[in-house]
Amino acid sequence: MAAKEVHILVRDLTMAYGDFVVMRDLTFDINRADIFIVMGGSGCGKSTLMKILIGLKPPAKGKVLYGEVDFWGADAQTRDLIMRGAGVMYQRGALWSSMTLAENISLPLETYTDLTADRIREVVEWKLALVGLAGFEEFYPADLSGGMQKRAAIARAMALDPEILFFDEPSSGLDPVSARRLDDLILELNDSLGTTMVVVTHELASIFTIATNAVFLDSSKRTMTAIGNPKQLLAQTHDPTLRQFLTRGEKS
Amino acid sequence: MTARGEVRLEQPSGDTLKVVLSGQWKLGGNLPGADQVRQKLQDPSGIRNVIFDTRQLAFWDTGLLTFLNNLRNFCSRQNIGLNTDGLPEGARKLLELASAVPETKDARPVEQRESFLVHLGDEVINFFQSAGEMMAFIGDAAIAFSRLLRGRAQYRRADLGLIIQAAGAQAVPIVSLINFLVGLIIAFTGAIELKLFGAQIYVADLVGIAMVRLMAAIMTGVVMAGRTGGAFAAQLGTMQVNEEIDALQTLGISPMEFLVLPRIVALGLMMPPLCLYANFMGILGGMVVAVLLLNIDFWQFYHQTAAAVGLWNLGIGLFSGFVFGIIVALAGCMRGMQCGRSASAVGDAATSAVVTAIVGIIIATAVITVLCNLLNI
Repeated sequence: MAAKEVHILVRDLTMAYGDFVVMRDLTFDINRADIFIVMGGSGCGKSTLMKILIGLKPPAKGKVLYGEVDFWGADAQTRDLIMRGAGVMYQRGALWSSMTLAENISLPLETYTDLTADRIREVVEWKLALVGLAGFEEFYPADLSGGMQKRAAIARAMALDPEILFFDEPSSGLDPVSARRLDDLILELNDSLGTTMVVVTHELASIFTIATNAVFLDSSKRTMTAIGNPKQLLAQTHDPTLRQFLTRGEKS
Repeated sequence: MTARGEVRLEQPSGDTLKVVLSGQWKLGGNLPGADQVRQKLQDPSGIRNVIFDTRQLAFWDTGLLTFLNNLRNFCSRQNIGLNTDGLPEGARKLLELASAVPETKDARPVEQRESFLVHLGDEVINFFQSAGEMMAFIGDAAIAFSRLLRGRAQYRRADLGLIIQAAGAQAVPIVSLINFLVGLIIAFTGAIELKLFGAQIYVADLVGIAMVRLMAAIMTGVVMAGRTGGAFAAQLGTMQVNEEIDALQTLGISPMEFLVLPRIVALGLMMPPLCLYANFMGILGGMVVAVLLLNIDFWQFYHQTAAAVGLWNLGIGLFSGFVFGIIVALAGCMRGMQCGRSASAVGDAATSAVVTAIVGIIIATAVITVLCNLLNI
């Protein structure tokens, strides 16, 4: 049985906005092909953590290691290079509103590959078909529903066949059926491509459906209080905050 | 009969106060406040308990609940027990719900009145900080431009074309109107004085030199600041709010090269032609006044203008226009990229862009004027 290869290491991470410390002493490993959930209550710093992992905000203290490379210790070019192997799906899609879906997905392809326009077109159609949006190539993001925008955003995040995908609250604002379809898509991609996935969310249904590992950020203690598979955490934890979170506030 | 609620107080025993509520307790109707009850409960009243009688209560809504909440807060501070059994069931449950989560003590931000000195100090610090940010932005733009010259900048040609069209071609109508009118005004204002000396032919010189060297560039610059500078700030600001700029960054595409550079190049390219066109419109305006009002012959006006306006004036005017274009683009893009993450922030960014651009234009004019003076141009 092959040992699990570590993809991202986080060590003693502290996040702050000026003097205000959001979270401190975060230490966890994300393995290859994991579906790793970052969960916690609203405003606990989940999205900030993701911003630090994808290079948009430096940490106040601590290290982030991609493999053996110190992400924030390296220069901006090295970070750019690492991020080229990653795809990010933002909370509201963040599709470029002045470009069609096809142009949105083509941009990374045109920038980083030598493919001809025809080949790029083929890849774009393939990626959109993969997320169930075949035929919507010439639509602008504003013409699509929220769920469709999110799926298009996933297609764009996957454009360069990244090794790791980041999702920021993928099911927020989605109806239950769309949320379920999104979960299925995440599971399918992870299964067939072996992509590592880091999902920031607080949707319990999704967490229990897709997670292989998770870290819980406690907003009152301002640090992580649990790590592990959510189903196991639910069965074994004695922490009242975590229990309340995982049971949707059921009074025990 | 207007809605009217009534409260009556009884004291069935030494340490108990019975509050009898009757009538229509409707929000917006005629309602008593909690004051008279509070007065009765004031120390030293010896009252340890409050009970309610609501059998004569015909109708209640939030009007009753705010009264009760008020009373409850007062009682808990005075350590007086409040017995809610006599209240209608719905009201009782709502009161319980409101008290389920204890008030977060430090959630309300403390309003601090800063002394004038502190405020002044803050403003000075902010000023130097934003000056630094401006320098950093200009520096980044210069680096991006050098990459452009080496042919290695990442941007879309289609975007550049669209911005050139929006900033250049579509600005022609307003630039025409403004500069025509300004030429008209200058001629009109000067004509009155010059006529006193019989020197009205020099209106041609006045309009020609003023417009070509200075006014066409400034007026066009100000128009572009309002029109295009604000638009750039709003576009980039909205992209910032939508995290579209973050998305570019995580894809390793420099927002400076992709978004800002085309805009600076577009305005730099379009301002000189626009200023040239503005020159003509201004002189045309002057000509209308000269021919129609001062009875100067058209050809005479033409020759006088041509003699007065030399190539140096034209060169300075076009150069100024070019510089103003760069300033407008920089101001618009910078404020857009610095935009906060809310809708009102986009509005602030647009406003700030226009103000910054106009201030920049005036400062640049002053600098160019001084330089020309020193160089004897």
